[in-house]
Amino acid sequence: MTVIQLLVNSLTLGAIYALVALGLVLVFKSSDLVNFGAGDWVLAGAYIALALLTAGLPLYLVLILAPLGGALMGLVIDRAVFRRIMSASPWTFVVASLAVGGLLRELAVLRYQSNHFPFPPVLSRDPVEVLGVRITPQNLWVLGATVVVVTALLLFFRYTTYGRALEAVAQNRVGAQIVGINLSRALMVTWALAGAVSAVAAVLIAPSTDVSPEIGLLLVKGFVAAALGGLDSLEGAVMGGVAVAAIETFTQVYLNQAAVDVVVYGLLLVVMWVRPAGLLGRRVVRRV
Amino acid sequence: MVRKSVTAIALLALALAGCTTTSSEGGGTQVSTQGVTDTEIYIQGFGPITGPASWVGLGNRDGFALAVKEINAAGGVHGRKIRFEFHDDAFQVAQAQQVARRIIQQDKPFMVYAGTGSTTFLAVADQLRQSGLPVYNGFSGSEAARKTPEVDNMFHGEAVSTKWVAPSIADMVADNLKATRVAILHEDGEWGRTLCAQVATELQGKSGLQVVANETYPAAGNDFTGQLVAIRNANPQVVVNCGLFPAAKIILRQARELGLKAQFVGDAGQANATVWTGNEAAAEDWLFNWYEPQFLTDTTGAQGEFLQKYKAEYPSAPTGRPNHADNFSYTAAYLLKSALEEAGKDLTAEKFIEALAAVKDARPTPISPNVSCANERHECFVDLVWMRIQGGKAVPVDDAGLAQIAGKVSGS
Repeated sequence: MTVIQLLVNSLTLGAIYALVALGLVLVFKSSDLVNFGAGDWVLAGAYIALALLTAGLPLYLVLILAPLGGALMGLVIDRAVFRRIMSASPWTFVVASLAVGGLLRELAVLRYQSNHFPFPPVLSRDPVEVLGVRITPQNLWVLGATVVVVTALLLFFRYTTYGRALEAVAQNRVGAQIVGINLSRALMVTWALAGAVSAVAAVLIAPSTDVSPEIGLLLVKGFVAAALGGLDSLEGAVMGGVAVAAIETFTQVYLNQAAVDVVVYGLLLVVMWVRPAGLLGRRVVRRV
Repeated sequence: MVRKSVTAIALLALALAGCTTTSSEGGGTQVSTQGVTDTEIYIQGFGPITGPASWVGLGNRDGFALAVKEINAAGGVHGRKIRFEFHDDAFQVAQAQQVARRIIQQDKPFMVYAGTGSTTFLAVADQLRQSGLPVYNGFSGSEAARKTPEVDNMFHGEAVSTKWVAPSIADMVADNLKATRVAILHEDGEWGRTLCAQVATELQGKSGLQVVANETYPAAGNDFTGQLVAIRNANPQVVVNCGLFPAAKIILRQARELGLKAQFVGDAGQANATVWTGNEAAAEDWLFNWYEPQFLTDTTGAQGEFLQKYKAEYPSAPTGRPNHADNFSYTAAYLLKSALEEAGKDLTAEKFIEALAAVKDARPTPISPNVSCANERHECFVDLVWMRIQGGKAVPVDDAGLAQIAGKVSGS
């Protein structure tokens, strides 16, 4: 029963990693760019939610408005920064994405310092026992919401014209423009979506972690999850997130805490060696 | 040419020696006076105001600054205003060493207020001792950072040493709760690691008691399932957790989620309202030690008045502020002010240190416990009390409460 309990708990932690990874995958899948500031986009989403909450809005309204705020943030960043360097080298984008992430983080610190702000859960944290395995309604909510977000994104990319257009942009910008796809608008939609997904991730993660600048540090695990699953695969992000969480948890129990990161990063290197595009990825990431 | 070089090196060495304000001879440190003018006493502090331990530095900075503002508004010390500046060490050893170097070599204050945690304080403690500047360690309870007999220029504040905290925890577990199976859980930082190591040593001396698990967790972690499942499998009656409150909150919540029913016992590093706010069921009956007559969230009496002043000064402070660093540093600033006054108008570092070392049975602020720095370790605070969470509130634990919790432990 311990093993099943560990797996269930790994799912919840894995959902957190997957949500961060989704922000990375979403951008890569639709623009062929890696947003190295993705962790700070989640952080910004968390502070947007916190600002709404402290303004006195009820939690359900915060859950609706925060993703909208995140989308708006994505639009502003696209208009102010990324659109201006659209035709620059990928390296320029790497630097710009780091700078945007740093700016978002420092703006949050400027306003809220580095204090930890508790964020309320949507559902109860009192555990329920099902077949000897304990899980809380809040954790079920996080898992369920993650599944809904991933499914919605999968459907968007697979069955909508706009989703396919975004993938086309990622695969070949010039070709996409030749067939009539408006590149500026496609990237604008990408960044708005990335902002919204980051804010959704934030409101799901914040009850577990509090709202603080440390949320941005989840990028490291999110990046490992995305690389493990495949940078262009939404399903891969989820699988990678859960895999990283399970490896961490089982290593801790059956080896020790000090071995956790050694095992996680070691396994990532093995996967990179065997399948450079990640377990479910289709494209090999270009060198920049 | 060679002679010229030798002469130049000798002159340079002499010049450097002349610039040095302190010297260490025969193990003793010579203190030095600087950072004092007719109108000002310059105090510098440092601690983490960014990073996972930012609550330590923010609290130390803000509590101290609030007291300085009040002291200056009341006329200062012998007509001199206190100028207080605080540097960020990000709880990183390298950055703390850089900050300490800057304070000692460049900024040259009258004294240093160390508002940082044990890991970083330990990394700079010798550097600060050797500087000769008066140093007040406001927040590290690490025994390793203390020396007996203490050199003249360093004093230790309200974060009571692990030397005293560890026996208190061991006595609580073995003598009061009468546990026979105990698990130890500690963070990987200096504070949690050394405290729990000492607790384990103390527990070895208790007959009929067995340590059934000993788990480590990353201080900045947010999932402790692995450690808690391992502890649950060992079936302890009591879990001693040595660490800080951001992790303690998640640990208590996840322990309940996993069905770990053992009694949790914590140290004062975890004493913060965010541990039980919104987490009441998981934190009920949690025991932790504390250092002051009233708890941080007590809205009555002296603490209540302090809360009002604090909220007026920092209106956007979140739940959990003031934290214990705010309270400790507020009291520390008034303790230092009293020593500055005692040292007289003709202020020197020697006189200040002498005055601080003579403090006995004082109460620098109404929220303060008893203070006596007049001991060879220069430990100004050693008082400990035990608190429990009852009905979502932190209350001092009384005999009846202790008996009730002990009954639960023996039945588990």
